[in-house]
Amino acid sequence: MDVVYIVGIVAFCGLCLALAAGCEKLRARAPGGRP
Amino acid sequence: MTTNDIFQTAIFIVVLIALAIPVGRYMTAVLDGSSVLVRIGRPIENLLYKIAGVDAEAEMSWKRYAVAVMLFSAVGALAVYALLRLQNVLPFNPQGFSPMTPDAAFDTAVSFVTNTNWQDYGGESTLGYLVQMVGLTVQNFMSAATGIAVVVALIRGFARHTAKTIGNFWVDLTRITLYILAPLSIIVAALFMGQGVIQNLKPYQDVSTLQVTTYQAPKTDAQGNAVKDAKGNPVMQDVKVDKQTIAMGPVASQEAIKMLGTNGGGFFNANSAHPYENPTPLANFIQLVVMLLIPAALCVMFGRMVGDKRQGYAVLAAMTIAFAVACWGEISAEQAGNPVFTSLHVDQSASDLQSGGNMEGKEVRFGIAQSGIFTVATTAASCGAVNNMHDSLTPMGGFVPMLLIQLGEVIFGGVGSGLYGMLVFALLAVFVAGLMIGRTPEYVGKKIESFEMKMVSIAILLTPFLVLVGTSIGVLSPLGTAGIANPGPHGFSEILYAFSSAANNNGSAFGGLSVNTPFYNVLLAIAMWFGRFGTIVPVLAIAGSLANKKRLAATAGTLPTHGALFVVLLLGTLVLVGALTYVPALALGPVVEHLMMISGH
Repeated sequence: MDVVYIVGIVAFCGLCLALAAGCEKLRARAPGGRP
Repeated sequence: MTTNDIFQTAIFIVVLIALAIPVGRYMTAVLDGSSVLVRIGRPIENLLYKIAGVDAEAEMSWKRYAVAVMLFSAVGALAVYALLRLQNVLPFNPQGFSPMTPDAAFDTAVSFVTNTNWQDYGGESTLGYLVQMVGLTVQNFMSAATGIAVVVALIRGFARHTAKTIGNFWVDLTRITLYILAPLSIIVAALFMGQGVIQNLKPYQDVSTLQVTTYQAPKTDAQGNAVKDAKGNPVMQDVKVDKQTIAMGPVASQEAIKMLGTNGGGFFNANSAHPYENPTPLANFIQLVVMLLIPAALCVMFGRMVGDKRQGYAVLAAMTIAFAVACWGEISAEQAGNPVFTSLHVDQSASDLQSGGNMEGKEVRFGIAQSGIFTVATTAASCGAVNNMHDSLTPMGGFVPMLLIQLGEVIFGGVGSGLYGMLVFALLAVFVAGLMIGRTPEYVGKKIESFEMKMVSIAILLTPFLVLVGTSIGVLSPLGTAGIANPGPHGFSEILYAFSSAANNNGSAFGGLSVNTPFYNVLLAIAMWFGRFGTIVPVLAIAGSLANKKRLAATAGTLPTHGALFVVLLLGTLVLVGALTYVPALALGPVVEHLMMISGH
């Protein structure tokens, strides 16, 4: 079971990093929406 | 509220604000490097950077800052998990405690790294001294420092212009720990020890009781199974008790950072109701002040760092007003007591001989006022320490702390998280005002545009999503309802409170819910982690975006954000968002329970 929970912590961290990457993409988007 | 209640609340607020101003000034000096202490400690600081391989001069973009926060927290969680699972082979475990179960260790590791300190265990019956000190106390420092670092990065976003960076996380973390949290913790721990909080590494002490107590308990056989008579009833036997085991430990050192860092995780299960954690009314008052000191001081620091002290005082004023109103609501509800008892001729009035009101679950040495202020402070902040049992509050007395948590703990709030949460609401308030007057919203000289509002939306909507979805799963699943001790609206409140507390990183609980199960341990850990870091990421994104913008000079058309009008607007936005999000859920819990109570059920 320990492995499951350790992977869980790593996955939590990964998801938040993915959120950061998503926010960065949102910032790079041109004003006015999709071309 | 009695005169005594009003007096105690007023004294507390005055002392808090009086101390917050100099501490705020000192914190500003630490963060900009001008403090004498920073200059003295520079060699130690540089040595730490050298050991860790940190380039202190290298500034970070918001994304690098966020990656550093995430990796640091994940490593912290893994370290605490390992300590909890291996404590049986580690030293300083005089009671020989076994390792925590994997799900409980997972929940506890996430809990302490996210500054929540939700505890599904009794500290004195579960954890050895090494785990308490190296695992939990260290995370109390680190999670608090992380929260402050994030708000400092956000403030830099306001203060800088056309900049690509928002500071260096490792430098911020080191300075906050070394020059703010550590020195203050030493002072506070000494004050606590002076009041009788224990600090030792002794094994637990067996002492003879003053009188022998005899009670009946079911008789068990050699295998531990209950012995039954011919009719199948358990056979009872007399048990005599003439000894009591008193838990020991390094309490004062953990207690200091528990309050200063708005962590809230108690050394003992009873938390700040335990006489070794919070022995006297003076110790209780110190705990109260210390709990809100850094969050209040951060407002002062905000004003000074952005170059307009009035901005900080406006936010501080909004927090103080909301806090005073919450104290009034909480203490009034508890002082009023239970009308059913009044009809039974139970005297619930305050007098020289009793506090009056609802004293169930409260310590006589603290009374209604000190318990009520503590309840408000611990839920206005993200502390979660308790000196009275929240499950025993009157329905409206329970409504107030639950709402304070659900508002995002921005009324003073957690160290760092309170102010960045309030600044997110300030951005929303100026956006709403901008819509009303038809101008592009500005705050502290920065234009608030679509990207910032998208990030504000994520930060504000994520925790209600976690709370409401988590509560729904809890009440719809048999695994969730199995933990309820009081079925009905109070049971619903227990689950709602648990998810509100976890997702907003508070850590206090309505004690009636049995949460040490894999179901709650995993669900609440998810709520705690994403409630914390799912908010930090968009806040840092806002910081990065603001830092990149020019600072605009105030014109005649700029909405002033340092006056009474803005304070009202900010409070209105806060209450409106909170009310719209949570009123339906609150109506099913504490509101129904209150109506049942006044109708005599």
